[in-house]
Parts: sequence; C-alpha cells; structure tokens
Amino acid sequence: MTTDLSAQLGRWLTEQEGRLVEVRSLELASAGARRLNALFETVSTRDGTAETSKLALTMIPRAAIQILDVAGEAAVRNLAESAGVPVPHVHHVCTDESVLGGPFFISTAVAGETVPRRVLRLVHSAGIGERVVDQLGTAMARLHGISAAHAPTPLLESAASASGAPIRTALAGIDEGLRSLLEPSPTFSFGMRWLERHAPPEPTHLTIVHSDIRTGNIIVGDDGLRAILDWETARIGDPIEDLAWPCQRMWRFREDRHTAAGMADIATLRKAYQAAGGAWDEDRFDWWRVLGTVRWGLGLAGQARAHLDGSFPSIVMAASGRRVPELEYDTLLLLRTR
Amino acid sequence: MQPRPTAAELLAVVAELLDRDVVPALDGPVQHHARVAASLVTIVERQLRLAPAAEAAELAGTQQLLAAGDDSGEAAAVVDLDEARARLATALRAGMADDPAMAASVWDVLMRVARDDLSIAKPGHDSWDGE
Repeated sequence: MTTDLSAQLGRWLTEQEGRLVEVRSLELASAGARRLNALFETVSTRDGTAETSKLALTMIPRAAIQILDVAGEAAVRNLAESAGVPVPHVHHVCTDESVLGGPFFISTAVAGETVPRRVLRLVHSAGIGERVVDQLGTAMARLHGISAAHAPTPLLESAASASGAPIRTALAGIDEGLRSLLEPSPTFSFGMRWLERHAPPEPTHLTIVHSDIRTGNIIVGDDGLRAILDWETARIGDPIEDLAWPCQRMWRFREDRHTAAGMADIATLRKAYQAAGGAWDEDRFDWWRVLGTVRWGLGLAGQARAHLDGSFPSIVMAASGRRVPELEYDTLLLLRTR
Repeated sequence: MQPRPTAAELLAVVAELLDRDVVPALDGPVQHHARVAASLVTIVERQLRLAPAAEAAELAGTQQLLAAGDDSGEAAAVVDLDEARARLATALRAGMADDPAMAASVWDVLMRVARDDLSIAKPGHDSWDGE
C-alpha cells in the first residue's frame, strides 16, 4: 500500500509543482477510521541542486465523516499560522478523491514527540512543563484574538458552528448522549443537572476555537511547543472551552499534580493567556471543565455502543465502555459539594 | 458443578499468559489489541470477585436516596439495580439534588459507587482526589 501511495503522491506532486518530485521513505504514522497520517520525504531538483523536504500527508478515507473538510481545515491552519500559532505549514490541499482515494493535504513534517506518555516524559526530564503550558496559553490567546468574522467560510458554515450559541449546543450534545446510553448513569445525570443550573450566558465574543488542544494533539521538542495538530474539530465557539479542555484529568496521563495538560498548573496557563491578551473567566472555565468531562464519559459509552450495535466492532471500542467509571469519578471530583 | 479452577482463577491465568507471553511476542496494532484484551480479562476477573458486594452496596445506597425523595415508600422498594439506577438518574435530572444538603448525600453515595466500580475497572484511579 505504501508503494502505491508513494508513486501516486509523486505523480501528483510532480504535476502540481511542474518539476520532477520523487517521494521516498513513506511511513504510515497512523491509519485510523477517520484519517490516515503518513510521513515522507520528497527529492526534487531546483536550479540544478537536489532538494530534500520532510513532509506529512493527512488523508481522509473516502467513507469517513468529515467534521470540517480538508480545504476548511487547511484554511483555518493558515489563518492560525498567520496569527502566530505554531502549526505545521500546509503546502498543498487536494479535494479530488480520485488521486489517493480521499481528500488530503500535505504539510511540513515537524520533528518532536506527539505520543502523550513520551511527551510528558520529555517535558518533565527537560524541565520544560511551564514553558510548554505558557506557550499553549499564548497560542490560544493568539487564536482567539482572530475575529470570527475572518474565519474561513467552511468553518462559519459547519454544523458545529451554526447555532452561534455554543453553550446551548454543548448542553444539547450532553442531553443526546444521556438519552443514547444503554444504561442510565446517575452520575452523568447529576452532572447534567449541575451543568444546566450553572450554565453561563452565551459568550458575547465568539471566536475560532480548536476544541481539541491537549497532550496528544501537540508536537513537543526539548525546546518546547513546536506545533498544534488536528484542526478538523475547529469551529466557532466559546474561547474558554479551549482553555478548559487540556486541564481535564484524562489529558494528564497520570501526571495528576500537573493540572494543565499534565505539565504545569492551571495558574501558568491563565497567566500566559492573559499576558497575551486573552480574557479568562473562572466560572466559565469550571463549567467547561465539567462539561468536557461528562462529554468524554458519554463519548466512551458511545464507543462501546458502536461496538455492540456492529457499526464499529473493535476490542478497543468495547474496552472504552469499561472506562466510563473513570470519567464518572472525575466528574464527581469536579462537583465535590465540600 | 464445574470443578476448580473457578472462572476468576481461569481468567487470572489467561491474563497472565497474555501479559507475559503473548503481548511481548507481537507488535503493531495486534500487540495493542492483545494488551487491551489482557486488561479486559483482568477487569472481568475482578468483576467476578467484587461485583456482588459492589452491586449490593449500590442498590442499598440508591434505595436510600430514592426513599429520601419519595414519601410513599414505593421507590425504596425497587429491588432491581437497573431500575433503581434508572429512577435515580431521572430524579437527579429533574432536580432531586438541587437542595445543597441533598446534593451532599447524593454526592457521597455516587462517590462510593464510583470507587467500587473503579476497584473493578481501574484500581488506583481514585488515588487522586484533587481537581
């Protein structure tokens, strides 16, 4: 498969760039149901000298549901990059599914760690936890500083953005998740009631939110944060959602003392965000953290359901069902009555 | 009656085989799936040992909460755990724990249940009790 992919990619790049481009050492980095990621090198000749580039391919399998199409995702990345957010630069976008079997884009391959445990090992052995969290806070403030009015059209028109009411939309998602449960969860119902009673007003200032910035979706090197990945979940929403998300326990990967991304404390994130012009809101932050925890728990239950109803049979999906108690416990920690 | 080893004892030895011999002999996605399988076998082994007591405690705690929110005594007579959980979930969503004192009682029961569930699904997850 990788041989075919290399040849097809080489032909397409040759056509696009108008010079002979050879694709080498293509390696699948991950091949999930929703996207395929591969790393490769290109060798081409410019002005008589051979030029080598390290690139990354992101392809959406034809059957996969796209949250945001590749053109939209690339446009958001470019916009974020122009605002000073570290992202792998996008070189090419192709929406023609006949080329590789699905729409794809090609970006710079950024060196560093992405696997959560390895990221956290590196961060703590190099003593750069605070630096990375500081960089995340700065990056988020820059992203949120972009006016939603400048957002690419596919983002503005995406279903996730459409309501213009992120709080109501998020609550509706939880409600649906609760109703789809194969067995009721008193804890998540308790959480939902809390969320309904403590729901903040819809934000007056809507921005582009990435919605999945966390350990596992970033590239980190010994010098700190190098890139924020996976922009397919970007939408228009409440900026505080982005801040709360990496501060949930499941993204700490056992580094529980380091409440922000398993790397540093939340105060470090807040300080960096504010210093870069972001407006922090403590109540809203707490609310989004509860919402995200309940949502993740319902998502795990949904994975088990997808295994059981045959729509996605997999031992990993089956196992997700038995992770639900972790999220119930984490939800209760956040709702401690004191 | 089936002879020894018991179901739990058999699952323990299967988990050991998967962990010690099978997982190291594999690589890639299959290795990951085998690791997940080993973990699931361990969960079911603990479930066989611990679930009867955990479920009895959950039923008692749930009945106690349902009784506190219902004067007729009918709700507390629910002896099926699934039904008791469903009733509690519905009552909580409808505001049963809006009152702070009731919220504290509910939280205590749900927390005990969550810890019992974790003793089966992920022992040690509850060693952290910060935010």
